[in-house]
Amino acid sequence: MKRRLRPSIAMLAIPPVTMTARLCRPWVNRPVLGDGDGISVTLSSDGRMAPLGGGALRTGSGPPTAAQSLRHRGITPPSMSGMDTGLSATNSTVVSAFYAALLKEGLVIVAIFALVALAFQLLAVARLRRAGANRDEAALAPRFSNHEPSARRLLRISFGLIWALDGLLQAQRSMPLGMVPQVIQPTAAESPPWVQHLVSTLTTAWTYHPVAAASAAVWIQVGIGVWLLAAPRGNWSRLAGLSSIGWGLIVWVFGESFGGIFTPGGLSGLMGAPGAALFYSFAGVLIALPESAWTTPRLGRVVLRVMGVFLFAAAVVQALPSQGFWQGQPRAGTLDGALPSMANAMSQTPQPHVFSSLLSRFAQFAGGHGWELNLLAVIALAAIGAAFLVARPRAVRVAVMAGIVFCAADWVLVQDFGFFGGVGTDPNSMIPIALLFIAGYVALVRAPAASRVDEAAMAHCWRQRLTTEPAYAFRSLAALAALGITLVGAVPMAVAATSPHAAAILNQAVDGTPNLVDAPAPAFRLSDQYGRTVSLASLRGKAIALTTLDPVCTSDCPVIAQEFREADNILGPNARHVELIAIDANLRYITRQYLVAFDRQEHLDRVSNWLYLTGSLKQLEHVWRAIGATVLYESGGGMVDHSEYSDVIDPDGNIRYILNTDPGPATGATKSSFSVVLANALERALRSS
Amino acid sequence: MIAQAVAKRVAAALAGLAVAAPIAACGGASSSPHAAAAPIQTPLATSIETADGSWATVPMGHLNQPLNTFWQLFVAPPGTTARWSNQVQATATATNGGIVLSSGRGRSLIAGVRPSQLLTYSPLIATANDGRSWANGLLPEGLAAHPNALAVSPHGQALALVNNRSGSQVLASTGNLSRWRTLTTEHLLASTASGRACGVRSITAVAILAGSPTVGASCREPEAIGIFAHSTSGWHAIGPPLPSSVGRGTVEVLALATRGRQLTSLLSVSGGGATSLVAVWLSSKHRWAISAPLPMAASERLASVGPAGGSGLFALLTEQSGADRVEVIAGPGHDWRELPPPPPGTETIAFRTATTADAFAVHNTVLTISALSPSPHAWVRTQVMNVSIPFGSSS
Repeated sequence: MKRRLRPSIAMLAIPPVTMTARLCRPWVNRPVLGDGDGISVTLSSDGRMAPLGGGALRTGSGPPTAAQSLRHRGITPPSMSGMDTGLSATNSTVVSAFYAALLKEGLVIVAIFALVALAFQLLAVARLRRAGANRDEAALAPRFSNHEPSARRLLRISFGLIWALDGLLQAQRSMPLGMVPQVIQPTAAESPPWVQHLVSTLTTAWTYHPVAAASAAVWIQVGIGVWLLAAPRGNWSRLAGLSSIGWGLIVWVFGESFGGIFTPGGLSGLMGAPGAALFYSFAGVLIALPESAWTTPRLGRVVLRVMGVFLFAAAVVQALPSQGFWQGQPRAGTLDGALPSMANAMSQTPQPHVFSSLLSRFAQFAGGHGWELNLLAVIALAAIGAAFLVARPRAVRVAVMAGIVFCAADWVLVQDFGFFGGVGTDPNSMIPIALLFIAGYVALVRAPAASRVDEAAMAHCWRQRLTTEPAYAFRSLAALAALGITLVGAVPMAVAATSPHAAAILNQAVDGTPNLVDAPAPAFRLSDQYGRTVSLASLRGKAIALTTLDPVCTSDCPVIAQEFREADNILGPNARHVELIAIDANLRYITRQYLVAFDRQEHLDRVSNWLYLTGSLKQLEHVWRAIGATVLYESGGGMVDHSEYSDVIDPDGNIRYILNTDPGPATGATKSSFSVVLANALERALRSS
Repeated sequence: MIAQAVAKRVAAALAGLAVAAPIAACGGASSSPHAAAAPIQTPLATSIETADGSWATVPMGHLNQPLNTFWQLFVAPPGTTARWSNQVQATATATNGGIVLSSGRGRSLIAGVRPSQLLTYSPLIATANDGRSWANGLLPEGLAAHPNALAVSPHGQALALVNNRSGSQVLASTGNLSRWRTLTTEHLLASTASGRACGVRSITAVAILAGSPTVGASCREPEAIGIFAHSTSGWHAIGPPLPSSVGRGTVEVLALATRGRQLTSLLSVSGGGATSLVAVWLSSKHRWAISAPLPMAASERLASVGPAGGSGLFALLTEQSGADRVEVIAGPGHDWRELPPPPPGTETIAFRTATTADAFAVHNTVLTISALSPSPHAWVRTQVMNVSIPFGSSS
């Protein structure tokens, strides 16, 4: 049974921002060449590579040996194209980049807070000067004459804390690479095709830019949480409510696939339907209302009745025989016994043993008493819902108590707190549900007196109010800081999402960073696929990407060829200064016909700056030795084994970079990422001469 | 009165017959031999005899994982006791898709590698000296998954059955294994008069009979045998009429082989829920001989077919329960005879002569070769080979 989790919303900044961000260069795609693992090497007289100044090459990112280039990947390519990177969720390269991005953005946020604090101090000074000049004291009076309504404060603070918690949960290490395949994709996969299509438009962006997306998810949600907490009243607070509505709805649609309501068996309120994000949005609606709405019990009744309808509907769904909740022991392939199945599945989630054993015991109990448990749930939901619908204070008070107990029990025993497992993003739906009906009760029984707004204060413009009302200044600056937090996360992701190419970090996770080199490229003289003689000297003046490809390869080489082709597209006008060259890497199939067949298969016959070179076996062996490539027969019916790397050579004939070309999981994202890295390396090589 | 009673009884009997007959006809219709049956997938594991030795191809590795199944190519020089060696390295490519073999004088063996994964065409290799040296060729499309998808004549003509997006096609080459032209397609063949009479469903095998391209097909029309030969006037069906003693149903050509002007073919006849194998021979005098049918049990699967010396054929049938059997027919006028049960895991049989055979049993990376001993009439292990399978290399 899937978890009713509310995933991140990083990509959600895209729609309003991409229209302008399309004008920006996708700087986030630029790899940091030369950082970290790059070292300088020379070519010795026998064609071997050695570090400048002696020593051994670090094999972690040096030219891969034949053994390293063996295609022994235990990664299974994903089934839904574009929906997975194929990398492990805890890939150390991506995790490190994620935390580095969070740190950098965190420093920016600290700077924002520092600026805000400075601004507050300056405003305080200005206020003191005004006071010292005996200005009109009435201008210092607060706008509001009474306290914030209790129910509103309850919602604002609790949901502010929940948003902030959700943001912190997004900082788990598995989020960049695990979010899509482990949270979003499973829910979408059970939804109708139109939902899947809708979801995939944004999850592809996440897959292509996992670091930017995951860090955006952290700061946007933390920002909304801080905003709700720091801006208690006035328009800034209402804007915080609006942001909660907006992001909540977008999360509900794209991250939760409409809360899973279109999936088979997806309607159980006990398991999270119709999605926690919808309740976040509902809370946002209430916070965004003018304070006058809270001055009568009417709003409380409305809230309670809405929750009553929901709970009563949940009772009806829970009672439907077709949903399978009345059965105890689960049967394979059916929804029967859904409750014990859910509890059992949750107990498998990595979590403290005390919780997992509690869930296991509950699953066993539910398996043997499914009918009774479901009857209890149906009665409880119906009774609580009915009491909320009636909205009489006494009945509601009892129902609230019962509801709190019920929600707590479900939150622990069925929803398993919502945030365990490494990709848990929120505490699921029971906490927001409980908070909403509690707030409704408080609004019903504790409606405050209407606030008498100071008309004189309202007449002042916002500049004057900043210098005369400390509370206004504080909440305004705090709200601005919170908005800054969200933008720190959203803007880089929006910019990244405008690029159709994946982030370079994915390729670095597969192949490591490119090696910096400064050595003359070995000369070669071979024939191309058209029978023309090609030598390194004849290509002087162009940047070259040189690799080895087997024309009868069944897996990696076609992928590498496509990556080269895509890199050529990325180069745009610069492609005319670049030559993409592959040297035949098969010991038997070395005549032109195989190169032509390969080119036709990969549609490279249409790429004007693509050369596929071959020669006699002796000539090829000489060139392989010169460039450090290994080509070996494989036993037992395997492909010819050969090195997988590419030399990037500048127009003066010097090797500038060596890139590992092992495609790894060869997903759409990792292929695109390699193309970006190769294109960037070629551009740098062009500029270096 | 008695006459009236008898008349009443006769009338009642006639009435009963009048009611029963349609019912019987309906019931009979449900077991009509014309009921459609799924075509048999002819397995690629097989063996062939050439002037310079015997060759066999079998899958090895994790046979339930396509990317960890690698087809091997074994050869044994002439001689009943010569040992087998693995020549798969000569293919110089991943053999996950299978290997197709063909023999022809001048080039003793031609092997084509079926493409897998991202490869879309088939490299070819040829040897005339038991694999000591190899020449190369190239098919621009992928070989079909049939053991007789390649055919070569002594004069250097070659035919290849390939699959692409348009369906199956027959390519022809004259002397050069790298230059091919389309001879026909399944759609073109199906549109000829002979093809329509057969109701060609797919082309299943190719051969060259006395210099004429010949193809085998699977027919939709019951009792039609889809063996066609090409001449200057087009494609003509040359198969014999199917005698009723053989059975009724749709016919599929499972194997097709030629020796000069003689043709040998193995057919499957499927109808009424039953399938049987029938061998047919065309002599140099254009006379057909048809064997008795060999019934296949419903739970049996055809694991391998191939030559059994001279004009003989063998069929390896496997049961889900593991009870395999090998049936051999020596030629026209002979009956099917069952050999001793082959060793478990047998993938194919190689007949070095009409009476000596080797069984290739595969267990993961271990190949066990057993020879059929005349006395006792049993399979005796003669060779064990541990093949280094490059697991994971195709992922």
